[in-house]
Amino acid sequence: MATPKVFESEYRFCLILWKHEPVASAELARLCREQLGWSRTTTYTVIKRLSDRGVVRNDGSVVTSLVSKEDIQAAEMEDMMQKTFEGSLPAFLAAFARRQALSDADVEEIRRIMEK
Amino acid sequence: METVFLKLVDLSMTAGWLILAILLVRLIFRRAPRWAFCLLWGLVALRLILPFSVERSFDLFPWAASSAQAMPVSLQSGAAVADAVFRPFLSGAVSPSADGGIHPAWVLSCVWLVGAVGMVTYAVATSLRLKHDLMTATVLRPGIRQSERVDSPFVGGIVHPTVYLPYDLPAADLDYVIAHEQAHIRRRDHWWKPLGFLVLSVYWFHPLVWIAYRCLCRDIEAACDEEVIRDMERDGRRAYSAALLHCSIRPRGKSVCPLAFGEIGVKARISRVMRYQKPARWLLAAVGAIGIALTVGCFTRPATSLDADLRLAIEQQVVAYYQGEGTLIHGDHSAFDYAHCTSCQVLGTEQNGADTTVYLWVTYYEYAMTNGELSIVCGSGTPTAITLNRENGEYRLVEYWQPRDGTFYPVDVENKFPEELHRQVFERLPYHTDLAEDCERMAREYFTTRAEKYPICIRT
Repeated sequence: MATPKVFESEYRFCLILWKHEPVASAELARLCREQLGWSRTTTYTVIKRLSDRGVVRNDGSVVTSLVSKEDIQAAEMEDMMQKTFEGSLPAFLAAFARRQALSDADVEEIRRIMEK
Repeated sequence: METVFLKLVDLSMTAGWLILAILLVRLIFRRAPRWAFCLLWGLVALRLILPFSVERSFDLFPWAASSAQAMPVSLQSGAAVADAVFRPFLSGAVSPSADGGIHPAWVLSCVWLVGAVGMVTYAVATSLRLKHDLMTATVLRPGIRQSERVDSPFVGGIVHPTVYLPYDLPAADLDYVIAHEQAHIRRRDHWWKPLGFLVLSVYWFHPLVWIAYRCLCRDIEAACDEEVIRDMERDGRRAYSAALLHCSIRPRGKSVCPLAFGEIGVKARISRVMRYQKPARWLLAAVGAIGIALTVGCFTRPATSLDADLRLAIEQQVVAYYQGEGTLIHGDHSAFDYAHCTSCQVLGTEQNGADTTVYLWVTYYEYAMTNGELSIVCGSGTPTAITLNRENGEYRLVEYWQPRDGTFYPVDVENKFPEELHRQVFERLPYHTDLAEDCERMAREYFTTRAEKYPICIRT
């Protein structure tokens, strides 16, 4: 199943959730107000949006996540590769290598790991 | 509604000249600080908002050759070209249509209203949608938020201005961008720009106002740039320009001209930033002097006052005319209570040697009072030119002139009246209600007091 898309602001919300879950939505709203500057309505709207998208679950106003941080990050990487390098792993690695000053051997090793 | 619209057209003509003048100054004094031009655009807005002028007793152009006291064409009234464009609409609008058909002015007013309301609605709708989209923006620092919906940094909110940034701004750019946006907040640009847009919505029919608004946006951005880099060395400016560049090549979303960092004329702005020099004092003084001159020119109008004995002489002539050949109803009206009265608006005076010509609009009404009810029997409104010759301290009538009827009317007025008065004569509608009210008031007074004096009122 494809990992649902999460926007940057929602990602920051998820960071709070992953740290405190399972958490009551009222408490979550308080945390979001503190750390993100969100109003209570905004937090509830986001909880609804994300639960519709299958990212979180809201059971009797207790919120838990359905997707892990690693999943989201991997999906983000794939998305970026798709957009910037048109899904081409070699192109991505080449650009990455240029920035990081990797040797050819390193690049080869990384490619092997990624294509496993 | 037509009166409002016509008054707006009138105001926009004067403002049009002001805008052209400012554009010229802007072209010549390129190195002047941009905040000065923001003030000048503010002057334009004031001219478009405030409907009155102050009377002045001095001549704008005292060296003008003509012996006429009448006002110079340039700043006060519209150009001959504008006249030619608008006159067909206005004169058609102003003559009462006998068969109760639709006035062209009414149609134009409706179109104007639809356009103005449309623009305001669009702006309000877009900003509401923007507010909704930015609901999930997260706080970076007090007063500064970030959101994935932001393409170009901008300031949002009229009451509580907040800086909105995208998430992935390069760290090196961050401080410059924030400094620029905070300059906007300090200068209250989050008020001036919406206000400017409101004025634009009202005057959307005038192309120069669009140009003025666009220039206002650019000048606001440039003024903030100047404020940030004012005391920076070359390196700082280079970094600032880099920030400008980075923000301008981001993918664009949809936005209604917010106070955006990277959107407006980037190349010009970078060029100004790199070439900035503290402006010379004389430059500021020059622009300041021009600003004052423009203010005086646009907010004053020449006095059309008459001195006491000239006024009396005019009164006598008008009364004599309307008691004699000017009376509209002839024959016996002793059967009902009857009064006639006149109200005049002085439009201008002209001096030719010992002869003085006074140009007026004369409104004349005849009323009847039956069973305590005042009713209009008939009335007329005519441009009139009275020429008097002063001899031994006494005024003597040389000519009491009125235009002929029908197709001769516009031609006669054009030939007799000075050019700068033409527009006022042909759009007499604004005066009409004032003078008619005068007449009604005087008629009622007459029926109450039965005073002997002929009811006449002269407005200058």
